[in-house]
Amino acid sequence: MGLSLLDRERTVAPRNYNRWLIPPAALAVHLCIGEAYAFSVFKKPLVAHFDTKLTPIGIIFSIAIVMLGLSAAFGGRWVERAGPRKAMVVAALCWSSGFLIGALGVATKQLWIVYLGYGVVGGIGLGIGYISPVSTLIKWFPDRPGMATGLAIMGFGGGAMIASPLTNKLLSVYADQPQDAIVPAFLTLGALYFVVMMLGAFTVRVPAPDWRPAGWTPPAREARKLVTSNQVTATNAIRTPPFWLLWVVLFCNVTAGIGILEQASPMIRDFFPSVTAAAAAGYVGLLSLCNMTGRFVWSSTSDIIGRRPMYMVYLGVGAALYFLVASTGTASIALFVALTGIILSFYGGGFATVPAYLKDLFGTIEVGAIHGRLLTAWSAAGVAGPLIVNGLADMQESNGKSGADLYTLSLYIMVGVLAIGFIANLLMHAVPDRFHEGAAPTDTPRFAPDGEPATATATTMGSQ
Amino acid sequence: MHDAATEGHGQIEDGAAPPLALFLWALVVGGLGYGVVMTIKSAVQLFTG
Repeated sequence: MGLSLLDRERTVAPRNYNRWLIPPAALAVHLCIGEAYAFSVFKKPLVAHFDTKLTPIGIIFSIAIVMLGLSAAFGGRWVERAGPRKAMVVAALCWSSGFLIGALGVATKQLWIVYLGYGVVGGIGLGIGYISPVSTLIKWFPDRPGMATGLAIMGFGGGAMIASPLTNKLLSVYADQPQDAIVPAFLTLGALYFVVMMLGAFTVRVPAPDWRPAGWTPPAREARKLVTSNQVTATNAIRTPPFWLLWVVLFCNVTAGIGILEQASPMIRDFFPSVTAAAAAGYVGLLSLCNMTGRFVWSSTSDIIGRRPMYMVYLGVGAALYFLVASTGTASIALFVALTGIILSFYGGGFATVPAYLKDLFGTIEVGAIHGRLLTAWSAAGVAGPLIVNGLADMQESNGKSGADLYTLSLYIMVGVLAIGFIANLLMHAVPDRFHEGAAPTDTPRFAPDGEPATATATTMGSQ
Repeated sequence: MHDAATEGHGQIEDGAAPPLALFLWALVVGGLGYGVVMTIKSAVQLFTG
């Protein structure tokens, strides 16, 4: 008993288990860690509490996002081996400990403890939690991997929509001044997220290795050129051109989206000076809704039209939309909101479709670990996107420009960034045969439940 | 390798998961619903001033 309850073999579901009982476990984890996108709610109270400027407080979020990328990249193989339940428990412990340690830092007025808590420890929880349900969902839904991962990753977008009003409420309930309510708010959120994530951990199940959805059989020859029946390990995956092409695709898509997301509130007020601060906050919320919806809708659509065509839409139509925002964005608020809303839905869709794209290219044996390594593109884009938009806006301002003109150049640059991603997606090709594992054409796990490598059982199929 | 775990029999608490999973479905749908309603309420100000 004891910790063995968390082992992968203890989570193997009975053959007749209803697979629709798995997504809420993934959603529970992603809705909790999605709080990270709402961390800006704490910014002003933290600035007042520590009597400092925005930049030192902004570092908390930056550390968390960097740790997300690093822990997903380096912890991916462990997550595959340990199984989703153990990974989710570790994520719950790290994420909630991040709040507890952060609360200690706030209570003692030691900002470095907040960096260590929310940033480092919480950031590890973000990375492990983000990738923990991905390969499990792909194995439960081999017929609809885009829909399944879209459903989970939608939670990461939706988490901020819950956390933002909830945090505001907590800050107003616990004290007269928000800066005096940070400690109890951190403790409340830490405890709440721990409980919900643990519920997810004890709900998640993995399918038996040879389990198939009723009435579904893997196609003998995949209809699409990029969909393989072979398996590639994480170590080999990063040696292949398709991995790096997809890295560029994700980097470009995220860079473009995050540039708007990070600057949304001041941007709409610069485009339309009549927009109030409260209305701008509503616009940011609307973008979060588009971001969340796009994760499920577009990722599900990719199951029908294919992954590469879907990314052509994200990058190609996305570039056209950026061009329209730059050239006609000031025409009306409704047009501006509609265009940027669709752009943000593509941003979310790009995140949610990528695990299924990886599954198509590399198979399922270490798709979680490969996904973790690909998420370094997110960390890089998190630096590049805001740098382009903020840097160019500052430069334009010093050149005497104002309003929408502050952003015109950076919007056109984003058109170029998306065009680069579009070309990388066009160049995508099947993984060369030499990177395929010996002979494992289906969902056979690389690690058997006892931790030993699974033995090859079937003949290799060449890439289509 | 034909043990109970790989066959998917026996080593899990059959019957324990579904009520928890159903509760979790209700929890996440309720949470998302709360988030969507609060977001739309806030976004309405964008067009009503």
